Amino acid sequence: MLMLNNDLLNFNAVLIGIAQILILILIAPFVNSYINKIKSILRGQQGRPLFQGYKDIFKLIRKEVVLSEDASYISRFAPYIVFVSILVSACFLPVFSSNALLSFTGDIIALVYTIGLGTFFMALYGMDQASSFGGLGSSRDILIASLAEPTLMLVIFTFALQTRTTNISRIFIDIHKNGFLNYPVSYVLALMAFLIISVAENGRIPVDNPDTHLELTMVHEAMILEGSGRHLALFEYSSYLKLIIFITLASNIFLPIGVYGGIPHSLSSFSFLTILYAIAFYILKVLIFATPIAFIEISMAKLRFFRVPDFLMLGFVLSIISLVLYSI
Amino acid sequence: MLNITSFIELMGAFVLFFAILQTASHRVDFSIKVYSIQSLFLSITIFVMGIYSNNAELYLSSFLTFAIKVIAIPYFLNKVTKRISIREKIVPYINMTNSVLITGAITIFAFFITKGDFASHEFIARRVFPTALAVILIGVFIMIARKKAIIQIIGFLTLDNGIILAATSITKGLPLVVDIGVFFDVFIGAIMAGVLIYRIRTSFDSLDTSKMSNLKE
Amino acid sequence: MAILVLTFLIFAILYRFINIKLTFFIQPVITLLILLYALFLTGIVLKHRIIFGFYHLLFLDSLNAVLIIIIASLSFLVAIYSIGYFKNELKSGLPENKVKEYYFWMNFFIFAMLLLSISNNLGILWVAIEGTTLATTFLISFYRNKEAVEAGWKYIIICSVGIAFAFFGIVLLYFVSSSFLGESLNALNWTDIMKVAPHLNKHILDIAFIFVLVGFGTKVGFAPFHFWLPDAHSEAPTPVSALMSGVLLNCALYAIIRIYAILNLDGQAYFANELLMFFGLFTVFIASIFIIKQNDYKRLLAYSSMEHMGIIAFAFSISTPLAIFAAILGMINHAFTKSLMFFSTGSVLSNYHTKKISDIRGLFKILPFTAVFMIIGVLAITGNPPFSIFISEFLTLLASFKANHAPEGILLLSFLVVIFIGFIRHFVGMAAGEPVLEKKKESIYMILPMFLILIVILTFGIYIPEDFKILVNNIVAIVKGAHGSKLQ
Repeated sequence: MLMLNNDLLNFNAVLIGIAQILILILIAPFVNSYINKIKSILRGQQGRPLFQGYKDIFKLIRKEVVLSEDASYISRFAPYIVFVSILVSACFLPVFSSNALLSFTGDIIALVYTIGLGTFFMALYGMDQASSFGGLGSSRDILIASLAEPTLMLVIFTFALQTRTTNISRIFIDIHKNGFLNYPVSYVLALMAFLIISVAENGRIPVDNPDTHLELTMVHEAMILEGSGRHLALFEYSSYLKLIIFITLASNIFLPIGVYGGIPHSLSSFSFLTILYAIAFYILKVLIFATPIAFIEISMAKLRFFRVPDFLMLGFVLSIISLVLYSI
Repeated sequence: MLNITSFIELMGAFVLFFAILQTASHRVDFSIKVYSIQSLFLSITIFVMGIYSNNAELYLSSFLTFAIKVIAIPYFLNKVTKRISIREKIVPYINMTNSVLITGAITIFAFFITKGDFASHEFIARRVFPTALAVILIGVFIMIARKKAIIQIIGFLTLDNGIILAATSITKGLPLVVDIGVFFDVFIGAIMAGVLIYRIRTSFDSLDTSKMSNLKE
Repeated sequence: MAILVLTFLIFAILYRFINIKLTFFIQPVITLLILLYALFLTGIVLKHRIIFGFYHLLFLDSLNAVLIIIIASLSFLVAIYSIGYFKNELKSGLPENKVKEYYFWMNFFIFAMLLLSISNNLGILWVAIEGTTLATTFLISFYRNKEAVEAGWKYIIICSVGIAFAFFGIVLLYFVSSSFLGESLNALNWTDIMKVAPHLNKHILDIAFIFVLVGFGTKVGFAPFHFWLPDAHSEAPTPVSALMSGVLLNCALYAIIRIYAILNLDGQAYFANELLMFFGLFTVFIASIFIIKQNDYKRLLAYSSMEHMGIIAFAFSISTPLAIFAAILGMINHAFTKSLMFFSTGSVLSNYHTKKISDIRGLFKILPFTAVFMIIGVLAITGNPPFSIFISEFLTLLASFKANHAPEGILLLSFLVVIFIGFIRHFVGMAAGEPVLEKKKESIYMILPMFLILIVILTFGIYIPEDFKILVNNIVAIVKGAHGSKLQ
């Protein structure tokens, strides 16, 4: 902890931290478009261009916000709160180097619950507009989130147990140093549990379909159905960011290779090239982890909603097995 | 960091994962797909084990696994499913959530009982054995917990995969003659069970084995 | 020896192309020749103790010599009986194709049983046992009605799982033996394993034995894994029931005994003995309960098969020379006597078309010969002198008293009394009473095998040949584990 506190004083560490956030923000729309592109190619379509995500955001920002007459102040604030909470949780997250911007104050549990704050306000927003779809989406989303959360915590505990700390940076450093493959069964099951959670939390198939606006199947889209203009842009951006946060977590935990630990902390050995290399490697890992999501999305049908708890239960059990097998 | 024994274990772990996924399956075609992928990982495991123990017989065994269990049996089962046009829902005695929970308990149990006894012996990949045991037990569980005849077959095939995994993990593979015999038997067995399913369908008008209650005492 | 095995495989395929009438008469001739050949081989075994064939993968010693004689002679009897049985069936409208199918699977079945009994390699033995499961599945669901399909399904599922467990046991066995014999086919050869048996890890051997016992025990019909057995025996066509009950159960028990012999070196298999004894007694107990309340005579016979397997397992578990003698005698006697029972009740079934005991009355007046054979069969199977089962059961009890297992012996005796009462009550009712049908003509092909069996069981009841005693003495040595050390 002391070392990290010293790092705080280090200007370069702060720079790296800021760079990390910027990179997350920059590549988030791209990763979403990338998944869509792969899906299209696998379906035999040409698909939207890879930079469609940015164009959508810009288009939405330029449009005016239309709010329902019944909307209260919550609708006005919620988009910002959602976006900021996701952004703050991104600040806890070490991306391509071990120093996150806020690593001195937050640990992995804080990250999970800051994201939870965003989920909460998004649900409020859904209900606030008094549209029937919004409320429906909110109730579904909260159900999914509440079922997914224990699993996520258990997966995290598996790693916390191994590294004996809940500090994300420490966990990541330790995993990069020692590897997780000493317990392959635990590893595989935790990976699969995490995959299930990511799918559920980010509203992807088979839990939710991000592409449709069909009232029967919507979860996430139903909540922001009333959103428009820059509010919608913020929601979209938040969901892109949330996905990239999960992918980053997965790529750093389950694919612990690269120059992660090699990023220098002090000015004297500051090397621009190393950082570029680390960034390139990070993006590669993100793309590797984004690809299976596309494959799952095209090979599976969306589950009917009452099947979703079963699906999440599978993740829960996998994470429990993973945790227990690690300890015995 | 990734040496060959951990890779074998990793592949074995995937076999276990697909066994667990099997218990969560709601649809017959999905179950068949899961079985096929599970067998694929089994075949990779056997292949890597062949590299590890430098045993050419295992390559053939791996190839047989691929040909029979990844392609032939799933193809045949799919054909049976289509032909009798099963309404593709799996009817359980024990519902999915409880099944998955029980499966979790089984897995932990399998690792727990093999912890002391077998750890002292020199296995190539010591942890593959409990994994295999877990797969075996899950296979038995699927057979008990599902009513549909075709899923009971898949349960048996899962059980068989577990046994092959165990055999490969603790003995560096069985002699080739025996191996071929075993594959042949399993293949014929699956086909015969498929034919029987067809007859069950025609005489019971359903694949629900809980309706089979003509023979008692 | 390969001839022995391959003949049936060839004929299984050949029958597909031959006229059905020709098939009827070739089959008994072939099986008779095989029986003679088996006797000839046994003669060699008497001289040389053990013979090998086909790169040491096949072998014949006294234990499996007895088994192949049982298989060959019962196949012969069944072949004769099938003529009468299927002529009847053809008359009542069974398509010829089905009969061809029957002969195909039947020969495949006999092939698998012969392979399993003379195979030296435990892996091949396993493959052959699974082969018997596959061959008999279609024979059980032969009539394709609801009950038959259900029985076939139960059979293939329960037995496949059981056998899979046995495979696991064999894998464990291979694991312990391969550390001495190397990773090769030899490490599964029974004769090779016996050579190194004293050095093997006892603990893992015990675990392997549990798996093998449960696995093959499913096939033997040990309670509580017996659920398929009554269904299968009652739904299969009568010749198949006879062969399954008389031979297949023995074959599966034989497989257990082979593995048991590995553990039993110097009589050290206390744990295995206890297990065998428990399963034996428990099976007899379950069988006795179901026999008393049974209303289906084929199922009743199936439970009686379980009972006899239990008694034989019990005898093996006592493990004294006298007990092993009784067990071997029991295997032979049960095979023949139970076939007699199945043959006679099969004739009843093909005339009455019902399996309910309460529906059948006045058998003496309708099928006089069959009824006489049936009552003789009942007396024989429940262990009355002068029939041979009396000798084996008596010896089993005697051995149990001598070996300080008196409480278990008394328990067994009380079960046997219960079973005796059950049998007499059911079958006397069937034979006596007013006839409900007209007098029927009895086929000579169905009477002849029963008569042959009667001769066999009476002979064995009164006089046991000298050669047989030598064989059994050799078997005692094998099961007691002394065999391997003498080989060296």
